[in-house]
Amino acid sequence: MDGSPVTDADDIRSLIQRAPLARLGAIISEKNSRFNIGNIRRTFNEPTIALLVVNPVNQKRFKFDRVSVSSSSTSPVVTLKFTEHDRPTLVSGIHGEPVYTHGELDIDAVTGCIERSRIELSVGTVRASLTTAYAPDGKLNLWVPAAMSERYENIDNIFRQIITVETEYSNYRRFDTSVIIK
Amino acid sequence: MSFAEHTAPTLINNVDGKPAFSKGELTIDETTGRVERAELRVRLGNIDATMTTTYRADPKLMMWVPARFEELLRRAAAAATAHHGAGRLHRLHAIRRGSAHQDATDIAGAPSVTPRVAIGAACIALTLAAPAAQERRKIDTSPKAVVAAATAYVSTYQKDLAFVLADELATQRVLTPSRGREWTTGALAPNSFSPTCLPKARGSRCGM
Repeated sequence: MDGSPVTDADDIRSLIQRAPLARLGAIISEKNSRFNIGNIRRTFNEPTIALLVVNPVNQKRFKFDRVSVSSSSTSPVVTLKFTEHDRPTLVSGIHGEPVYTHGELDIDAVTGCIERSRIELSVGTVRASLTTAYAPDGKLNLWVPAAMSERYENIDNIFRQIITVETEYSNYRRFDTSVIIK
Repeated sequence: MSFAEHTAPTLINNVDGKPAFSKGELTIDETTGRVERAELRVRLGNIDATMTTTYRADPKLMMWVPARFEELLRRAAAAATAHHGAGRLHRLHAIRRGSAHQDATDIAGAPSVTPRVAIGAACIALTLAAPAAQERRKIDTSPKAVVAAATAYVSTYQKDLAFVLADELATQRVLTPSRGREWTTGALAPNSFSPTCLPKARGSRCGM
């Protein structure tokens, strides 16, 4: 920070030992958000957040429209546009007010695999857009987030600011543990 | 699905050039049209050849590939009468080409099924499957069907992602036009990204 290395970055291994497993994801998310710079606060910038749109609990609050169908070597990939129209919204403002999202999902029509997602929102004078590209991971045999692009713009005349973040994810591995009973 | 070839020209010919009508079975994934097993049977002279290819998912290539190719050659009863009961077929030998080596034991009178022919046979079986696969690929791309597919996918995905860790490398850039300033961080690796679960909807906030 300010030219000095951050010394309290948690080692994931020690975090797993200390933190309750059920809260681990949230804790890591909160800790990571401390490294966000700029005058726009955000904790929703998780690469998999757009997947919540098709979660049965949230799905009924969204309207889906087909934008296009493109063919790949195996099956058609459908781009769906989604628009959130009901509360409680996926994302809230700083004071808890609802923030309606919209965006796009590229979905393999056969497998349902989500290959790309984009989620956008406006809150006050802030415009945000978050795009995640997924790619197959040979080790896990899964499509995983490979890269995420974020763009935030505060259009306020005085506080105008543009923040862009490019994130790459690599070295996916499963956290395994083993127990030996003697 | 079973298939039977009924008209010449045939996919495979006998050594003398005469047509050899093949038949067999294909195990096809109903949804994707993916061929998971192919069996091709053909009589060549007095030998009945059965070639079976089993496919499996290859995690590196992210596609189904031939995992096992098995040939079974049987000499027809007429030729084997001296040793075996008339009117029956007898299994003489099974040749497996599972790995680098091939059991070289030859069958007296067996036609020479070279690797090229064998691999060709496996491909032929796939060729036969193609129309069936195409027929299956009348895929519903309506928003309702695609959302349903994605819902099923995400519910499984959530379980698959449990206890998965990855390294995160982020570069942030902040531009404040009014001050004519721009800050750029180096590639920050603040922590390992852990999609242990999908993020909670509640508690995700954005604003000033």
